[in-house]
Amino acid sequence: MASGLLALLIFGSLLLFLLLGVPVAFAMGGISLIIGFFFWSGEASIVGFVLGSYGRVLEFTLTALPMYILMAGILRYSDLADDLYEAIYRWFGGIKGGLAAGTTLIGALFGAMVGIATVATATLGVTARPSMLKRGYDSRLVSGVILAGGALGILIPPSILMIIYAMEASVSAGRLFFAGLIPGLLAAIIFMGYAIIISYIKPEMGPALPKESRFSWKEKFQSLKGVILPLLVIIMVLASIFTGLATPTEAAAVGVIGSFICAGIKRKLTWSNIKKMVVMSVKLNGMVFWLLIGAVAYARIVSATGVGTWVANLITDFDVNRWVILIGMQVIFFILGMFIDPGAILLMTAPVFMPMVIDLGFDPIWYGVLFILNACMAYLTPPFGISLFVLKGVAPDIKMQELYRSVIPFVILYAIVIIIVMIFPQLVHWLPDRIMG
Amino acid sequence: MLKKVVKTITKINQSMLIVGGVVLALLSLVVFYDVIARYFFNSPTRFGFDLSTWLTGIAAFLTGGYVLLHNDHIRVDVFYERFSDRIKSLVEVITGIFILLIVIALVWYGGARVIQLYESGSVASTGLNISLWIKWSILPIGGLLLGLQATINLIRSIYNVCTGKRLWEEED
Repeated sequence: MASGLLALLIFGSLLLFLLLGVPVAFAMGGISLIIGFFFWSGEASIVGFVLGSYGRVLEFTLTALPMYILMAGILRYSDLADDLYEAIYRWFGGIKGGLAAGTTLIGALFGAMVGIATVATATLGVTARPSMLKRGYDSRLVSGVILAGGALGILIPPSILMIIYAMEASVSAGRLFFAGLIPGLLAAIIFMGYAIIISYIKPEMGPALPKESRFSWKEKFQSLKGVILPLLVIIMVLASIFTGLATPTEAAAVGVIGSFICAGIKRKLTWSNIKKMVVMSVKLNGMVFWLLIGAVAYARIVSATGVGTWVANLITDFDVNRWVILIGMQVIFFILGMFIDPGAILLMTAPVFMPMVIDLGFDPIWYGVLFILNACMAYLTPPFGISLFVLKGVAPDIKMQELYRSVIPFVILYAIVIIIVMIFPQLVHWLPDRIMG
Repeated sequence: MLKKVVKTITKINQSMLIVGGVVLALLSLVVFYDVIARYFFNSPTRFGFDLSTWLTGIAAFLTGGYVLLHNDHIRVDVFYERFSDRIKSLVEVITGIFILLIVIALVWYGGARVIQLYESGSVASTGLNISLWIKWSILPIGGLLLGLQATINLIRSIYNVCTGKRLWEEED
């Protein structure tokens, strides 16, 4: 069969079944089995699928996924955000927009503890949102900072999406972790700056606490107690990687133990809470891994049939500037991100995009950070950004319309961060080069 | 009769929550222990590395049916949400067929590999040195769990497509 026709069949059928609503994992797996059987190597392709899925799932790097997921599950139900928010409230309450800026800061702190985007969004939606609304903050600004800050979870290390990317691109997960740190902090600072500036321009959006209800220095310092536990978890994970005590994969185990202790100190280890933690972790873990199993099959079909190379050649043959292709990829990510989970986007596009990125001479770590930034946006972009639904889930009184509008400034800010990182790759390389040589 | 089968399958897949939870906890402990043992006593376990990948495999393969039971596999629901009940069921039928293809691969071809390993008596030499067939058995078992759940979903969906009625109500 001609490559063009086969490409159409492979990509077209996936697109069709995805749009119909067939779960991504099974659409990828099922289509690959059918196409592999008829157009590639018959029974051998099925055996290949079986061996391939076993081999992929049992790769050592991937053992980090269930542990980081479990860690996220534990922290999700440990109410850490309460204490953090209290500290923010006492320290930043007196500044216009201070609570909104502080909420972003909590998002970044959570990002350094958990590797997924939805934990901070859900917990801040429960704790920070009602408090800010009570102080007269603009509801759209409130939703915006929670959503944008929460998405930092996948950019600031550790990050589950980064582990999956590292595997797809055959780069070091640790290097990618540190590569994301500075862009992540940059994004957080930009969001905080935005919240404060907009509140100075329009004081009704983020009023400062009245003088009489501000806190004394003693009270301020007392509130820092609540920051200790989260910092401890962050330090345990990141320091164990920094010092070489553990690999990024093993650091996940350190994180699980740390967050478990943390939950214990907070007295959150009741049976009902533990059950919630386990349900969330097991579900998310199963979901991610079956997605990977489907993707293994799909990637094999795309590369083994030669369709991947064919498409890549087709695009590079256009002989346009490589930056045009790179920006084109970002646009494709952005569009897909409005509808599809970033993990699925990564796994669907990697068989075609990754070889092209290398061919065009771009650095896979830097490209990875660009992808992750785009994935952050994907969590926010209407109509189907996942974070929107997470926030709506914990705060059902918000109208979807309002959520859609609340993310616009932050999507633009994320895009600005992407452009900055594109122009200044040193932001990505500086830290990992210092640490890992 | 059918109700009983549905209930049993639901129960089996629901119990994978406990299996998954225990495995995740165990995995974290094994890896944590290895980090400590290597750093402080310079003597990591021989089997830790291998065991942790296998535990990951268990947590992955055995929970496919559980996630399906709760309908939590990621899907694009842009259009799906707006479909009528019957069209939704039709999509579920397609989903069911795809899943069963995957299940056949895992159970039949994965199972064949398990039998072959069993007969040859191969033992792993990568650290966790148990019989290889035990390690590989997570493929057919995981496939079976997913397949059972997919089959009852498929029956329900086909019934709904044909009659427009529900064979049984879903409980959560």
